[in-house]
Amino acid sequence: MKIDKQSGPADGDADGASRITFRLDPASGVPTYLQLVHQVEQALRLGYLAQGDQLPRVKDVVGSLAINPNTVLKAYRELEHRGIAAGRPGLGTFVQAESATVPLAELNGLRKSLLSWLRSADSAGLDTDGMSALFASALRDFHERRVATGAPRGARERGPGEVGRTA
Amino acid sequence: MNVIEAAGLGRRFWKTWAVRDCALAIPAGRVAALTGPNGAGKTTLMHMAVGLIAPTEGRVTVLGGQSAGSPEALKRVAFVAQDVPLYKHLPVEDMVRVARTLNGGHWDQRRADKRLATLEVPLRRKIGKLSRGQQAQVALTIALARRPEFLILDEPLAPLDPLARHEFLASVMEAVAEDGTSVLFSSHVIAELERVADYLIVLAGGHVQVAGDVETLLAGHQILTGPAGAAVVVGTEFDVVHAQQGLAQAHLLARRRTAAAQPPAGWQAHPVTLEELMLGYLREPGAYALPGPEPAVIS
Amino acid sequence: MTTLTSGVRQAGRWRRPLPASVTSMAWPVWRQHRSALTWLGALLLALSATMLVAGIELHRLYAVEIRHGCLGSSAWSATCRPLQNTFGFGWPQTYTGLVMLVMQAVPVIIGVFLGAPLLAREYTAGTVRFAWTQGIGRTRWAVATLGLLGAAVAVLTGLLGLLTQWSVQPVAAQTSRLADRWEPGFFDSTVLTAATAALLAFAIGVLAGALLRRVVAAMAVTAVCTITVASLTFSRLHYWLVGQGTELAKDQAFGAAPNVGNLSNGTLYIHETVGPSTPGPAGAWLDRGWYTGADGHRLSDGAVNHLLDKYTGTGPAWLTRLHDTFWIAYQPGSRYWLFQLILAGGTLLAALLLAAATIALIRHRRA
Repeated sequence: MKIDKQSGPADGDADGASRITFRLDPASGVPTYLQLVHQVEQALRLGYLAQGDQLPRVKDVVGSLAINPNTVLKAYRELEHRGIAAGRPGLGTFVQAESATVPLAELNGLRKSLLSWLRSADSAGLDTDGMSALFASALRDFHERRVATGAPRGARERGPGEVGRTA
Repeated sequence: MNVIEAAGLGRRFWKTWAVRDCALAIPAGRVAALTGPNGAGKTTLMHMAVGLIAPTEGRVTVLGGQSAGSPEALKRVAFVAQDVPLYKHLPVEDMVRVARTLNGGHWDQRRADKRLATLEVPLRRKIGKLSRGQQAQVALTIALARRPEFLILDEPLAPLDPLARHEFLASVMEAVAEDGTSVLFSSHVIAELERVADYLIVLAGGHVQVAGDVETLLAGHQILTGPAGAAVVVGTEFDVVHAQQGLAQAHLLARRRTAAAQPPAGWQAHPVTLEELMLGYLREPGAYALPGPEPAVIS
Repeated sequence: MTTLTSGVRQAGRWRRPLPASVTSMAWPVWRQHRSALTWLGALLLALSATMLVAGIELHRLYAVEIRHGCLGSSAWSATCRPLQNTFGFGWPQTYTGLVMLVMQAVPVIIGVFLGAPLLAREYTAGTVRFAWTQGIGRTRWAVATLGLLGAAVAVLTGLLGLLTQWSVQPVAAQTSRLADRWEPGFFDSTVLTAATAALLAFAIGVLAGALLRRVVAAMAVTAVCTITVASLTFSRLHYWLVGQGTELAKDQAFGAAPNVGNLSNGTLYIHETVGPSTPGPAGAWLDRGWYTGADGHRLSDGAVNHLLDKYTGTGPAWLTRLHDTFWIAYQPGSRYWLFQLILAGGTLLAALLLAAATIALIRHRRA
């Protein structure tokens, strides 16, 4: 599959306003292209991106981050490989997969229950660090159990390619 | 096509060789970073590549065999020299107009206008009155308005503040994204090299010490940590470039001989950063990492 | 304004095969050197204004002289005397002397202030690294810059030469010693010779700048060279040149009463134009002369002085009676323009050679 280099009309007039923008953490040790991949996946999860949305044009990404265009192309290729995005020659790269996006309403509900758990933890006498540690440990156990059983996430089936890697 | 090729390239000034026996072959479409200590010959090399000075020995060609400095090369290669030499007494728009005439029909005025407008450079102010960052952007605007296939920049970021550096690099990267321009730029700042460069050349003492795709170089090297004084053990599968010795422990910058090379028992392998790679080679002047059939040579 | 449309692109490159031509360089060369050219223009304008004002007055006085028939050595009437005094000893003499000096100085100024900094400044500011990496290439850039500026210098100085000649012409017509058309100062400030002299000084300055690559050093060297060339031309080259290929004739009228000249080894170096007080072939430049005795041999210095002691002051007859002849080597007046062309042509050739050397130096890839 060919990822288009976003060479549309000679000079971009309006910056093809994409719904998301990228940021970089140069000290994180994570390769740049992977950071971009993760940010797209995260945006999908949080509902900032939906099926059919255009990803930022390569030119705009490098214009704001000052990174090599090949890095962006590599990230978009990886997203294609993971079945999340697809390039349309002359038009751009677009979100393709029906990923496990949690709808906003459900997110709000989850958030509410998380807040009430926090309230209970607080009244039990746990401080912020303690809450963090408890959550991290429980998340680890949950993840290990999940990987062991191989159960799919969410009610829906995965798209083509292997998805489900977390940062 | 190789965007620049050099063989046995050398240049002498009076008695000193600024560049000696230099070999290069950078493929097109790369953003290549030229780095090395001060006085290593980076500027001399670039000046030879654009035809400002003639080699004392060897030759350098650009864009698939064009002689450096030939009329054909001059049309397709744009250069911004160190410290941005522009006519300081001219206002920006006159400077741009002069540049337009000096480049005949190979000029995209619309691109120049758009860039200057976006950067909000005051057009009627004299170049000498602009900030360093704005001067650099004007020079870059002129270079990019020529729509070059190959853009060469000599230490473009050195005099710029962090914001100006970011904007300058971003502009260059946009041009690369838009036109597929090949870029060669020299810099000391490793952080910048890491963000934009996909090809690295380390020039030390007038010689090319390291040259290759960044990815390949990083994949082909590792830091091996193990007991001090036992470096010879790894020698079967690795070439040791540089050893950092403690009393009990040592870190070795090592190059794999084969893709599947594994460290021996008792040694840990870590991926190497670009900075560690560069510094390791710079500390070992006899070591080389050059593309080609020969492995790294350590004298 | 060339704008490229957002139409077809080939492999991300824009191609439009219009080479940068020498004539299209006119605006950049003007714009870059606008300041220096403006100063030069202002200087020449000031000089021109002065010459215009003085010239008008001189021509007015000259017209009065003609009206009263004052020209000619013996017309010392009451109306004529003040005019002849003025022209002979008054401000016209000073004015002419100054004008000749100025016309020698203008090329030096051009060489030092326009020529020398031209390339030297590009080297010191490092802008050669910009100019010589643009599409036009350094050869066409150099040819255009030197050619266009040289042409401007030649045209402006040539026009000034025309004005100079016009403004001092009344003084020259008096056949006074200093403002003589064959004389060095006057000869060098005609339209041809002034223009080429300025070009040569410009070329010297430019070459000095290209060689030394430092502005002040180039200016100093140019000043020394141009002043040397000007003085040598003024004093030696000029007289040598107009003394070549002279015609020979008897000039008893002059020989009988030689009122100008330096006697040396039997030759009287005259260096004067024929006029009312200098007899000879009409309009000729008298270069040198000598006396021969009855036997046809040239008289020595001592013999000449001995001869002239017998001078009776009543026409040339006394000379002929003594069987002595005075021979004159002269340039006919008709050859004036030929010699103008020779000097101007030679100067132009020298200027072009220096310019070629400069361009060769630029092409040598030293930057």
